[in-house]
Amino acid sequence: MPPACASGSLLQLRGMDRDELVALLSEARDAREPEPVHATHGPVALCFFEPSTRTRLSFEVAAQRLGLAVIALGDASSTSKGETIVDTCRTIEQMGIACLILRARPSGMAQVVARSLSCPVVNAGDGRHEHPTQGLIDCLAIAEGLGRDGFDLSGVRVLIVGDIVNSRVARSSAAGLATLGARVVCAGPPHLCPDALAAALGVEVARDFEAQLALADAVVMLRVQRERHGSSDEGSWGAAGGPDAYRLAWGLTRERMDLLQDHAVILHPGPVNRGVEIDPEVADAPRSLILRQVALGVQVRSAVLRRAVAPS
Amino acid sequence: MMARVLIVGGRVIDPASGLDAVVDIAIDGGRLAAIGERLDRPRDAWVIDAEGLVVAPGLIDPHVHLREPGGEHKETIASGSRAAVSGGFTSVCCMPNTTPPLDSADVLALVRERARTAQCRVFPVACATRGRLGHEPVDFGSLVHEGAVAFSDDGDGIQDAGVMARVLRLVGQTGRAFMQHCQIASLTRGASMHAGEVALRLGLVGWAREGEELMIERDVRLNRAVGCRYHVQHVSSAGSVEIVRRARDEGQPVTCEASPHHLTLTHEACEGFDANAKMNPPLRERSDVEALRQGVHDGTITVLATDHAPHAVQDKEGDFEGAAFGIVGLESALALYREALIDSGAIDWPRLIAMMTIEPARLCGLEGLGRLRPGGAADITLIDPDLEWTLTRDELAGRSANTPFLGRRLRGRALATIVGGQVRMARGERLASLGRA
Repeated sequence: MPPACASGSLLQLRGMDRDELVALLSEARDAREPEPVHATHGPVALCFFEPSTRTRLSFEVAAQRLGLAVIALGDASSTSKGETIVDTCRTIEQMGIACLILRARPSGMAQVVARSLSCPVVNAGDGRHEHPTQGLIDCLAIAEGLGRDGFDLSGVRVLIVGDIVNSRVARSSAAGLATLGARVVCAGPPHLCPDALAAALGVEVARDFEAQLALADAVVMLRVQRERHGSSDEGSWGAAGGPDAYRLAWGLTRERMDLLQDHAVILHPGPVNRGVEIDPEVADAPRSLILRQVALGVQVRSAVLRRAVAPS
Repeated sequence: MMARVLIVGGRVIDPASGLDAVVDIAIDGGRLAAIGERLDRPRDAWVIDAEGLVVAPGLIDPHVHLREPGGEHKETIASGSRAAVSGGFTSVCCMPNTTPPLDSADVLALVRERARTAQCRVFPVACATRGRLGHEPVDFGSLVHEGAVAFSDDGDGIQDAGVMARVLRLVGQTGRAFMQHCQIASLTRGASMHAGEVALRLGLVGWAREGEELMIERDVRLNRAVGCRYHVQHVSSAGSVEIVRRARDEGQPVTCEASPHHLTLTHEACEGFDANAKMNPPLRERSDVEALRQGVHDGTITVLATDHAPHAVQDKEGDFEGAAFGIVGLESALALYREALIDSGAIDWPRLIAMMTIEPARLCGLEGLGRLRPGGAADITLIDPDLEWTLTRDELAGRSANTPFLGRRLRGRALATIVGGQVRMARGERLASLGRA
């Protein structure tokens, strides 16, 4: 059931139907030099209640390329005075904005805010829940990297590795990739990639990392998000011991890269912890799409913002 | 002696005496004067036609939060008691997690003072440890003297096993029951819903069943040599029901309660980040719901309790992880129990009435309540077992409206609530005039 929100909103990829997803990806692919949108629109508001560099700047560049003005919440936002995120967003909406781009720490915050607003809301990452534009980037980069022009990913095997439990990117990517027909396999240590994820996300869960590398057409490496683990035992590196032990068990090392099929591509949503989940030589290898993902990010966000401010 | 109020023609169910028959009841001066077939109808008697209705002892909820003192923006003893009589309850036991908590004679005296003008009877459950901090047991004897009907640190379980052992020994000496909120804090930190598929999908930290089960297991083992009356609040998992069943089979004085939401909803209700589905303990899976119903069927679960937990709008409207736990439950309880337990075939009406009357009365030592006995208190609830209605905001008599059941079609409702012979609630064409008497 799609959540309640204004038309043009993008809250999550889970539940988005295939036609809508393909249309959005097609527009993103063609948005290298987008046409400006009509100038009567108000500004888009960047409301980031959690630190971000790449996502925030990427949205800002995308908006500029569409000719949209941008207003942004400063660091010393009113939430430090006790205002709720919802009230801050409602206040900004009343200034006459075309859409609100939200990044917040609680899972599900985009849905909560969208329920309270009448302008479109774009989720730029809500807690561990979803990061739909990043999921679109992964779909687009994999389709492009594997030459799947029509975004039909049937027969494609995507391996997502690492801290799945705490990753909003993994949730969005897994949903989008599965909708396009890909077979999604998640691999990682049990406390970061529990068996129950299979039923929860409709993916396969594997522990035989190296065997899976040999089968994959695309590998998405994730950072271990220790800042989201809280004070529980999972806050440690867990059974993996520490960064070195984690690299040994679950890192995409130079040696492991050799296990990949010739055509297989490597992705990482960033920020990258070089030498932990991915070796520098791998991150910079020709088959790595990490920088391409950043470039595609602007195109994806251009398409998403156009859809938000000028719904078809 | 002249009977002034007559309730005639209803199906009178009094589980304590085993009565289940169409008989009349006479009330005189706050006391139940007589029960019998075709009682005399003096000319000046006020006759209530109860044909087609269930006439039960006044319902008792042994687990509600009335928020007073300290949380009057959510609920007060007065407003909570209005919700209680609206739902058919003539007695409620209020939990001590107030500000300040109910851990001293002074605060208990304040609650009892406010309770004197409440719509229903209000019995305080006092803290088991000072400040509900789980370290220092309270002075149980003096709190019993001040009217505490049971002890609990509800909202928190007692974490330290040594403190728990002392509390069981000391409460055991009073003859009162100890009620445990079973949650191991170190296993549930940051958790906002059941640890399962839905939590993984939504990206929320899960509260696993073990967080509840391990505390019950610890407590019943500690209690073996003590024999305190030990009661598990709002049991939520299949494994918990099994532990209680085993302890009862051993002959331990262990009881447990189930709430309407744990008997009807699963963690799927949290989809869409609806904070009104955020409970503590959390809504779990279908297999847990079935195990709870089975536990009611086989007598492992003997008490029903709403855990009525009012919260202000601002406590529930923000993000799911930051929202408060709990829902209001007094008005919807009877219909939800019917749906979960009678419609499913787990139990019949007499057993349901028992679990809402004599069983909680015994748990909390409420002498003379929860039963219909000539000479006893005239606490009576009239129930239309088949009335269909919809729960709306307007139907909620308390201060808060935090419930996922708004808009739900329900079946079964209290039509009148009589407390000590006084009609405190009456609704429907046949009975509405009672409320104006």
